[in-house]
Amino acid sequence: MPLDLETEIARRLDASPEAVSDVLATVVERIRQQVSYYGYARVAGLGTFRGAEDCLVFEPDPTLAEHVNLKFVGLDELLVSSGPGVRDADTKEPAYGELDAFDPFERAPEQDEVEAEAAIEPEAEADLDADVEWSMAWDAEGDAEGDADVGTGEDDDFEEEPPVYTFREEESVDDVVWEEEDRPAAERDADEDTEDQAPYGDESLDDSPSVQWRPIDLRPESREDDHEEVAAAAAGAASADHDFDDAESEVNEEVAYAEEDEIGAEGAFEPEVETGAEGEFESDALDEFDEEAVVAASESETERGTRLHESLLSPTDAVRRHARASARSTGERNRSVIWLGAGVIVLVAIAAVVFFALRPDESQAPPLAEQMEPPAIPDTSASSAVDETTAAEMPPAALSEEAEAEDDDSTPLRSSEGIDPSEGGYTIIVYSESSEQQASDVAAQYRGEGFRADVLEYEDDGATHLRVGIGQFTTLTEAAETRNRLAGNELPGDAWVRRVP
Amino acid sequence: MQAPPRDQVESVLADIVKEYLSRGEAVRVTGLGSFSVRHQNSSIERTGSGELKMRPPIDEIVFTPEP
Repeated sequence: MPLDLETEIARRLDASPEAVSDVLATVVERIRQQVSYYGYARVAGLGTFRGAEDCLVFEPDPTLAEHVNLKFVGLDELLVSSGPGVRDADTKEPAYGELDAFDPFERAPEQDEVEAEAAIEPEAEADLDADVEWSMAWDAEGDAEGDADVGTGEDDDFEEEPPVYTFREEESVDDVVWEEEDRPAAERDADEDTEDQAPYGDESLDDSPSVQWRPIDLRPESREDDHEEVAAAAAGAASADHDFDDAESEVNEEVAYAEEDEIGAEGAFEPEVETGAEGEFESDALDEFDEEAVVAASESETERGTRLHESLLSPTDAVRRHARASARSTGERNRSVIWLGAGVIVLVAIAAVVFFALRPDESQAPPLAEQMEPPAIPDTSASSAVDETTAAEMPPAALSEEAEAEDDDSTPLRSSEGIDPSEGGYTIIVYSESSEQQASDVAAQYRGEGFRADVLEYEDDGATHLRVGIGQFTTLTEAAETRNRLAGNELPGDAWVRRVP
Repeated sequence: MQAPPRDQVESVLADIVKEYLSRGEAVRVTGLGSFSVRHQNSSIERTGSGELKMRPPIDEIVFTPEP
């Protein structure tokens, strides 16, 4: 049953529906009038009505909205899911795609595809190429005899998955320790002296045969002719500014040369020795190297060793390390650029302040008397609107050059003639009395000073006033200017301008 | 019976509108318009940060003016 509003209101107010209907109509009419006049009308407890495009728009009162939604109190917004990985409620698919979790220091065999791809193939030993990415060095000693333990001459070993090398990153690069899986005892015995090469060698060696890591001494003196290029490459790699690609290629070349030195299956491959010397394996240099390969405490050698380690790392690790270094250097360059820009801005600001401070004040106005134009006074020649009060309250006008010029030759102000009432105009009243004699004496006195003075008769408020007028000006402005200029000096300070009767 | 004061009529009018809208019923004021509620179910929305939030249901007050 639809609500009968008038009846309901009448019931609640204990009034007649007819009376309530009239009052309700009045309320509605009042609302519409307020909306049309003020733009809005507010009804307490209900809301605000506003006018929009010839219709009413209603904004409910907050209390009304709260009361209507009382049954939903306590139901707040509920977080369904948050952040990346949020799945669309409709498609059930990742909203933004799954992020690949990647830990550069965590390398599992199944993820290390790069190392598997970079595993050395015995067939490729003869075709060593600088672009080949090496991840490990194969010890070639004994390979020519087909030492199965070493595995370089055996195809079967290469069919197996390459051993996985993991390393623990200590606090500094110098402390990087390589862990080897298996190492032939014979090799270890031969390398006992080289165990002290901490940055390269691993102290925890076992006796099982396997691939071993042989540190390469990049000192030029150890391999003068043979490793000149390698040392140069290492020295170049030690520079932090070289291009990463070039560094990588240099390191790869360096590793390639080092690798080639170690390979014995196809003969020693010395960087500057022809590869035709197959079967040869020059161990002399290596012997020297073993003895001299103890890494000195010199920082440069450690850096070279570091570079070599990086080269022997997975290329991705080396890439990341170099990327970080370049990023650091880039960041440092960016900071220096920012500081430089800030310094330039500060200098420009200081120069601007100094410029404006030292600039001559062009805005300094000339004296007010020379600059100000006379106020615009309405022409009241048609009526006698200018009275004593108005003339006395006029602001003092500034002098103008023309006024000064006129003053010198001012016929209206200075003349032997008197004031001619027939000409009309304006005059400066300097004296007002009812006594004609006194007025005449004052007029004569001003005439003696060269002013154009005369006694004028005015009828004000039913009384006759005899006033001494000085000068006869055609315009009120001219009279006012003259009065302001002379008042307090040659004329009394309370002089005022009046129309000539 | 005397005609009730205007402010009292306005107050009672507001109370009636509040009461009837809370029950989901409409109120028509002759010469002004009709007050009613429009229920909006809860919905799941995605915020700018990618979060999914469930908005609670709400009864929206709708006013239809008379020409």
